[in-house]
Amino acid sequence: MQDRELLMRAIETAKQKGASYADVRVNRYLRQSINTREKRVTSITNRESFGTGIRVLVDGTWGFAASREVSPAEVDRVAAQAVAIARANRAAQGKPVVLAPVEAYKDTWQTPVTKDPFRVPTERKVDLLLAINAAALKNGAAFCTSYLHFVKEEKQFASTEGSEIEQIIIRQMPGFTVTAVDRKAGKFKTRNSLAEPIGTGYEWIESYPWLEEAATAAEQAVRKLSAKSVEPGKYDLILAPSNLWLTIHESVGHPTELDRAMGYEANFAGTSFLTPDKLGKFKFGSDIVNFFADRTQPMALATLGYDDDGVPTHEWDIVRKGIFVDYQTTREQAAWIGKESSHACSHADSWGSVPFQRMPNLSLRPGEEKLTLEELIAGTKRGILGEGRSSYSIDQQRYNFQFSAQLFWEIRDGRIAGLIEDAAYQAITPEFWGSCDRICSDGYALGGSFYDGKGEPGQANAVSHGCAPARFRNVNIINTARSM
Amino acid sequence: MSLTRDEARDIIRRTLELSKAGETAVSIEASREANLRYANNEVSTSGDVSDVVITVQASFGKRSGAASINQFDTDSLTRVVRRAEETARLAPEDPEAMPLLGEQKYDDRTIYDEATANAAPEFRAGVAGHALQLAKKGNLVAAGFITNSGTVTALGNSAGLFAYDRLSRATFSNTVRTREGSGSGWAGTNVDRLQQMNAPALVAAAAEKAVLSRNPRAIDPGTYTVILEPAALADLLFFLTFQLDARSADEGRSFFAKKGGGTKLGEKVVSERVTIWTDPADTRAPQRVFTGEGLPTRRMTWIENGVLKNLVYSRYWAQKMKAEPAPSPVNLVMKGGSGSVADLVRGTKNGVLVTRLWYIRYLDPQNILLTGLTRDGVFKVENGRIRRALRNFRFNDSPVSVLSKIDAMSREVRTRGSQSEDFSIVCPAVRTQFTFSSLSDAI
Repeated sequence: MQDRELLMRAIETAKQKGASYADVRVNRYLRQSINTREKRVTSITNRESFGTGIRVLVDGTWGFAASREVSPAEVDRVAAQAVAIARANRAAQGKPVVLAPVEAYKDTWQTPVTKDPFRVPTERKVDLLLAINAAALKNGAAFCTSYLHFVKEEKQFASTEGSEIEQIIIRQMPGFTVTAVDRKAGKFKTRNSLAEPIGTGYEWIESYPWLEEAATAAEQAVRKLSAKSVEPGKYDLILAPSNLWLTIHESVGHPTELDRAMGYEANFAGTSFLTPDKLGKFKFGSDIVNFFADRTQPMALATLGYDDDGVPTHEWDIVRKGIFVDYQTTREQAAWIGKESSHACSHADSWGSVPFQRMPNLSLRPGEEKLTLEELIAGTKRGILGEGRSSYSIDQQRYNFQFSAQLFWEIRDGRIAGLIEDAAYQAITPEFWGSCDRICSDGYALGGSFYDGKGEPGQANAVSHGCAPARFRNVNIINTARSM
Repeated sequence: MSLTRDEARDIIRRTLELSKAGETAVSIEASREANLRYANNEVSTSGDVSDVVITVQASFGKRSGAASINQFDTDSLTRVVRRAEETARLAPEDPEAMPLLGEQKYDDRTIYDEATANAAPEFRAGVAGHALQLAKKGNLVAAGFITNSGTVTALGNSAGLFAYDRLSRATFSNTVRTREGSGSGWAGTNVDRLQQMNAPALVAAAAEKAVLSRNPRAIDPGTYTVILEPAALADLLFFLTFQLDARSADEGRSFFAKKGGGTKLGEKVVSERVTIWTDPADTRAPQRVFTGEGLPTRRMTWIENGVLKNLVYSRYWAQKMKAEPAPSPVNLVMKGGSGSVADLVRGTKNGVLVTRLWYIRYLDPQNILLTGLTRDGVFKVENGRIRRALRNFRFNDSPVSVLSKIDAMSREVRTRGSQSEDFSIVCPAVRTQFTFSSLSDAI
């Protein structure tokens, strides 16, 4: 460990000043973003941020302090400051914090990559983006913007439990938006790439059929200009993973965060309809609906070896056979619901941020019966197929949601009948998952959010959600068109 | 961390001296933010974080690249300069590249207040302590967030520009819920000087709304006469500002694009009651004297008596379209009427009062059609009085429609939206027509 001496020094100082528990993180974050439009590169930026954050418990009260200076004198100062803050906060503390036990780990972990995106020449990335734009423009788009964002986190962690953990995490977000314009009619339509951010190396970006997708997207954006406006009503709704992941994120991921359910996010993101009294008995979805959480899934954005509490990552069930069975937890939270160990969901988005509970990868298990998307469409008489994330909005307790898609396809008598526009599906969370009658066995894919926001001050988290295409019966489809 | 003008100038000079690029621009943002968070009637987290980010943009002719770092020893500055130069050398030529701005003249006002930027922990603990005491006394559950911060921004470049300004800010928002969970109230504000913050009044307002909003009843979704409080209107105005870009309008992909080509400049777009402008010198929502690239910020009227008067022009687009560069809004002020929200309620025979909006997203950017929800207090108003609490709604509507159907306004006040919380907005409460599309059980 490069900065081991400093980490150990911070731990010792915190203990000497009176901390019963302390952890120290020394982290470096590298970020590269390349943005283009049409034939131009609009920006290329490389950012680097380095610093340390020290968290302590004194008499069961948290204290945290951080600095961008990482030196022996400064870690002493920061450790002492964290202890002083904990002491100052003691008066307003309710129940003392109790941490679930964890073993001491001395380990390293790294996102498995073949090609580190930070070693791929910038000009190769620029060439790819300009080629995407050219393919879109050649196929009818009036405009095309494209981007590549890369993140590399070099994290060092040590705690009074005896853990010393070093991790390197890499993730990337590629994408584009094409716009088609009908100036005469005063209309425009966009179509975003269906590619998703992912926790792996540049080899994934090289393997994706960018130029084909850009050409298709341009043609579809043009077709959207004259597509039929949806007839509102009840439809059987089939959602592809490129759309369904976000519905999982919003309607399953956020309400099963234990801090939300307990009221700790009430002033910002909100609370949750899934209160602890529902644990183990609430019918969240139909019998075929099974959600599992993990931070171990290959290529997923929240995947790593250990969380920011130093707890090893693992898999567990959130919803089993339609019943809500568990929450996302940290070491601090496990005891809140009588659990003996943490689910490794502690995360801070910077050396300067306090770790708190963040969403792990949370995914829908594929169906057990053999079923492809084509077979599912063939078995649907009057339905709509949604692909790609678009407008999404959900209330502060995660009941009422309304989502759109990049592409909505009308299904008539088991066949795709054409593109439709102006549609959104609006539902109440448990009713929606209760209406899920088929989940494909084939076609499992990951989607994800690169900048999921939570907390005050706001912190970003990257998280993936896997699923196969699934069908929901009699869903309320509204027509959102309105001309001003 | 605070940097003096001389310290900032020195870092910029050292950085520019390291550069071998044709043109180099350096920006520094040095910030310190202290915060305290409470929930469930106890303090949950607190922090006090300082950082300094130095960003270097290097250009060789029309090729440019940028890099940033949060250390400013000579090794780090050298690394960030080399990284920006390497990126610039690899970048293709940008046909829209503009030369760096030379020396500029800025107003000499500043809105920095030392007492606000560096308020002691006792200030934050005092606000939280009062809120927790009141909640416990009223058998309510309080959650809130208090911050105070100071930010130094400095710009300098190889063409002779130097700019330096400091901002201070304090924010407070709080949500009070009833213990059984059937009522929730919210109030909050952002200020530039601590003296402008009346935290006890905001705590009392949230608590009063929590109690008043208990046991809400459902009424059918539909279009209603609605009073949108300033916090609710602020978010709708914020979405409107995204559409002010002249280039998007000229390219036919904005609400302000005209059918057949061109923009709606000079056309009536909303009710003649509506006038909206940006004014960095407005003491109710003061802003820095320069933009991110160093242009002086100035007053700009966007909509006057319902007519679109100006759009945002980047330096490149202004040159191409033979217009003046017009920076993006740094704040928004909408002219109001007279009286308070309570006066608007008193003057309403039959309507719905909305405290604030939540989770707003575009449905259709062409018409600025948005979806979102009401939150923390929706009430039925009858014969000038709040009659009962209503369940929350989802809305599908557009600020264009909302601003076109206004028939009464309160005086304008500094407010804080849920999605525009870091953007300074001064606006009135308005009475208008608003479309609720479905009900939500959320409290």
